[in-house]
Amino acid sequence: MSDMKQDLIQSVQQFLLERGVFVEDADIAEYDFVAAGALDSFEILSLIMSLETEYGIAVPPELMVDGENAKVGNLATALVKLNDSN
Amino acid sequence: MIAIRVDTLCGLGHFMRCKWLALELQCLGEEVVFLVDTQLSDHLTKELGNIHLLPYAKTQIEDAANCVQLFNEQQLIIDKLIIDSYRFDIEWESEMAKHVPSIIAVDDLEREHLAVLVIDSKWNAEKTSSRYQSTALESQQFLLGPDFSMLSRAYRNCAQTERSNKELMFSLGGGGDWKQLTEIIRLILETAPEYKVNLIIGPNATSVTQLHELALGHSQLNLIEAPRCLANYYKSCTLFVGALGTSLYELAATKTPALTFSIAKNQENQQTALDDLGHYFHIANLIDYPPEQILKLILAMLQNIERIHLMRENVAVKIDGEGASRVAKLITSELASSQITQANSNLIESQYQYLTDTITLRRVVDQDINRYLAARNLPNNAWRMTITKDIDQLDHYCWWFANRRDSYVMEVKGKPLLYVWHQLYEIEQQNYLIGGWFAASDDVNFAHAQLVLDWQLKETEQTYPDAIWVAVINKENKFVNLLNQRAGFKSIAGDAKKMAVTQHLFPNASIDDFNFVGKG
Repeated sequence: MSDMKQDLIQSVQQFLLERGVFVEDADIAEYDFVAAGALDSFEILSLIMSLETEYGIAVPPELMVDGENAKVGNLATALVKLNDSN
Repeated sequence: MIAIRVDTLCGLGHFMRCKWLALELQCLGEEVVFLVDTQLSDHLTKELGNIHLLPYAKTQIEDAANCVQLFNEQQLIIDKLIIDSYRFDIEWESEMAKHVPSIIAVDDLEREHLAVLVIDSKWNAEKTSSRYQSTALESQQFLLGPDFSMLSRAYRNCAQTERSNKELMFSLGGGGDWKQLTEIIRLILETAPEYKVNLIIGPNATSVTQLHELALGHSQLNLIEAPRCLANYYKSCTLFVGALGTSLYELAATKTPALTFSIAKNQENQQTALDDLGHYFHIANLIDYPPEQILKLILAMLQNIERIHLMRENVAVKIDGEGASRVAKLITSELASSQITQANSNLIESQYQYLTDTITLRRVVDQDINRYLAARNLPNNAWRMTITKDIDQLDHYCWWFANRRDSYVMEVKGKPLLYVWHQLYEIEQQNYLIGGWFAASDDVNFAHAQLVLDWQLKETEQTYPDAIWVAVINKENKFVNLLNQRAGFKSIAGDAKKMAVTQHLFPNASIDDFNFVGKG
């Protein structure tokens, strides 16, 4: 796993933890933060914006329409790909 | 021989549809006998052969006994018995099944039947096929949907007609109380005297004295009493106003622009099902509105009649006037299986653009008029708006024809997800844009909102590059506030000019409840 992907996953895990959602390291990659219902729309957008600021990337809206990208591991992979293509 | 037991105590609708069926059966060489409750005028019955009057029965069993007695007395050998009545149900059918080999029920109330064949022409959109599912017998067959609507032959091939552009038609069907409509008609006669107004007065109509008085003072008002067939009136009128009832399919067959209301329980329909038939303007309680408001809507519809004509052109469910013939042929042949009307899809003629592989966006068209309102009034949308009450149906129709919004709908597989709109205003030589979006489905999530806002800002930047966006966002709506902040909207609290413009454009938004923001 690339360093950036690992960092992204950890950032999301920390974001969740700060909102009282604890997800084990072993489960975090497969954790679906939309299906789990732990974050509302505002929190999800806050998460995206915080990742944008932290990693200097712009997340296009199309990326989050794909339900698969609500899984933390998939989101991290997509953001790494996005970063690499820029 | 085929016997038809038809209820004539609750309007003429049941009798008329059975009459058109009987005429088709006669054309196929069948002998048909009618059993009715009341004496019917000659003009209704003259093409029919045997009509027998039954005595009033207090119970279903008693009526069944009366029918059997009549068959015996007249020495009628009945192969098939068609029943069309709200008074008689499975109890009557069960009794008659002891005496007649085959019973066929005509219904539109989704009741349980014992009949071997049930005919129900009601269109209930995607639920049409599941009507009767819970009570159907294994051996029972069904003809369901408007393909089996039994109309006069006059409704065949009559969609392309020359219409008057100055003729209104009012009808309440075979009966109806004209009291409340009289004031509306008087207002029309005075406000739009250039319109000829035809009133179709059914044989069981009440409160018609005032209409006769009104006709004496207005030569453009014609009272047409119990006409044999309404087809030519439908075909020639500019706009029909009246009770829905059986007129629904006749209006659809003739593609007549119409404004209807309900005066009986069986005239209550889901608006989506009416939309499928091209019938977009049905307000169940229309005649309870103040007459001035009804007049306002009628005038708005007349001013936009060409748009309403187009709305009727491309419909999901067509009425071809062949229903009675279709049913007659199926009754007299061996029916292999149940048949159900299917709706056409892809009817909206609008350019789609793909925002993702599965999400499309297109301009809102007139055929969206009811879906747009239904979405706007969803509880999850209403609280975010500057006007939190439900938008009234009549007000919506009037607004629809007058509004200058650029409106779009985001869809997944043709199902609306959300509506988005923007509108340009020029104030003191500066262009301003306002806009909004609201969900049409529970499936809408943060990503769709983000996607559509992103599209809208790019679109308006291209179309109106010099315009300034101004908006008000409910302070409680943290998500949309953040979404707009991300998109570059900033508070305009310190900009007196933009604040004044925004307050002018959103007069119902208070500074206490809403954030005032702008972009550009």
